[in-house]
Amino acid sequence: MAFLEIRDLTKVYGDKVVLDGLNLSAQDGEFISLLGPSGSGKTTALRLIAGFLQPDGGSIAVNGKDITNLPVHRRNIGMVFQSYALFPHMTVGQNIAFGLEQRRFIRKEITKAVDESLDMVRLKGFASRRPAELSGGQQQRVALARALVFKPQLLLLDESLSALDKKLRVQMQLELRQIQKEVGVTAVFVTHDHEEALTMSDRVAVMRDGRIVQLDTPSNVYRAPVDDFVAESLGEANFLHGVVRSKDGSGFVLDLGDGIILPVPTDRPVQVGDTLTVAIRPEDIELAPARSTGSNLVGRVRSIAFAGNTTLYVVEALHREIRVRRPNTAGVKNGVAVDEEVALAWDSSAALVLA
Amino acid sequence: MAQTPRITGSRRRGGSQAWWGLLALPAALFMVFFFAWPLGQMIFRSFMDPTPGLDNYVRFAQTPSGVRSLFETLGMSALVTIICAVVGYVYAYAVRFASPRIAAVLLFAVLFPAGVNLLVRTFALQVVLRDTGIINQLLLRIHLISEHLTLIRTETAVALGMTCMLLPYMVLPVYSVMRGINPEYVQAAAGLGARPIVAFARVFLPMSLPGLYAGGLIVFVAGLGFYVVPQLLGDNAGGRFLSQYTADYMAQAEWGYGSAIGTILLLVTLTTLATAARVLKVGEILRQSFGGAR
Repeated sequence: MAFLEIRDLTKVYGDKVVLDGLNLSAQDGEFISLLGPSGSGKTTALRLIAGFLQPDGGSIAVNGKDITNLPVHRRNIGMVFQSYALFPHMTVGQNIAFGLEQRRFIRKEITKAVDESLDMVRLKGFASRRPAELSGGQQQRVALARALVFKPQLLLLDESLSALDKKLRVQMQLELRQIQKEVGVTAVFVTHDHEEALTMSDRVAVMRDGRIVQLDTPSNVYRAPVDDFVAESLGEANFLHGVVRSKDGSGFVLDLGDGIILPVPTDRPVQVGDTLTVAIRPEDIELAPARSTGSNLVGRVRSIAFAGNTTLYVVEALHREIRVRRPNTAGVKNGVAVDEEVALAWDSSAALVLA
Repeated sequence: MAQTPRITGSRRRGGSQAWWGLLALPAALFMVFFFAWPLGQMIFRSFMDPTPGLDNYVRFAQTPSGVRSLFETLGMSALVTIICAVVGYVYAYAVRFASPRIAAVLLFAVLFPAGVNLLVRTFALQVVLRDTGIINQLLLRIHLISEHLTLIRTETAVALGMTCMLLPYMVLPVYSVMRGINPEYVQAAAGLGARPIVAFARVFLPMSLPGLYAGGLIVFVAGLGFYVVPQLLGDNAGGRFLSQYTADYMAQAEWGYGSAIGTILLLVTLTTLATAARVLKVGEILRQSFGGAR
């Protein structure tokens, strides 16, 4: 049995089903992200695990023990809020000590544990400061220290990094993950930022309409999405629709219309005549001047947008707009101009077959 | 001609605030003529009438009934402040966590009486509390008592009356501070292992203190100046409020002595306000409570 075991978890508000029989299990020490748009039920799921809400059905078990009906204060779960919720009338040290005091630790042990956890989040000497005197990143670290100091069974993070600016956020992602690994605590992280979910997680649960659509490793949800929703949730994607013309042991050939065919290597069972959608990530597509290659997929460049490390090309082909993203490498010129005819090409493994 | 550039200059800085300030002039003039001037007159008179010097103040200090009325006023205001704090806090808490509809009803119930004339409400209380009032009649009818209780003309009646009049001024600031407290703070405390009562005592209560301080200050200071309630509900043979004591002498045309008592009341009020500003550090408490983690 997994360390965290959530079965058929359901939450209903009036006639709106916010969480529709959620199933999720996590191994000890695993870092799982719940990724989804607002209204997908990810925050509700987290609040149910924390105990702030009571489910209308289903069960939650941690380490083999059912906690579904346990009150919040007896669950032994650490939580980092989006707002951090640091107590403003207490010092940083008092904030961190709070959880230990509830567990009746003796003064000496509390002082020691507070110092150690401040050390862990690199805030040595900040114990007597007030939360209001700290920067956003520092407050975030105090919130993390406060949530971990009493050695909880589970760490819950509710959009915990979204209040930080981008540069700090990326730094905190790595730092948070490193601390989580050191401590070895099982973590559930709610986010709407797909890069964050991919960077930090052992596994990502992509959620929609109160259900988990796909739960897999970051590279699998990115490279083998089950449907167009998952493909788009994890980054940009171009969707191509076609009919299966023929198949053999290594894959099939998809007819995209206009005489364009696309060989797709896959072990997915398909029938000749099936209508299928494949997704292709913009960074997987290569551009070349139309006449220089033998590729039969040709389009016209509609726009070019420089975005620092990449350039985004929007190409009209197959009666649609196809987004192409090329890296900007020093000394290499992408010699393509607006309105120019270009040939599109990609490695056959770049075509992701959706269900 | 010389003024024109200066005006445009101030406009360019985006500040014609000096002109907006003129809008406050009517109110300022009103305050000068009808508040500051008579107040100045009173203070002046307390030192000059009938003879220049501190005679009036010495007389007050040497009159036992005068000093007693000072303590009566302070004591009763403090008592009413404490009662209002306890009752008002519980009430505000109920409003804060009730469903929106019930909260609206509760808020209306506490605010509506504040709109009714104080004299009218005091007479109403008199009707309720008097020997043949509904409380006594009810208790007599169900044979809980054999003869009527003395409810009116007591200290208790004054405390009750003042609490009735002042409760809204406690409930409002407390409720408004409570509304500003993000429920996540209490949830965070529970998540850290605090039982509900501990989460309340260590997180919610300290964070709502600024509301209690503000409400307490308003109630206490307003209580110091009460006249109608102790006059109509109080035991006028015993303790008198400073305001009543003042009026007694004013009625006897002892302007100088009456002014001195009024000035003492003013001094007590100002001292209270100054002490509150320094000791309670209301400003700093507010900053800490709301300028913190967002």
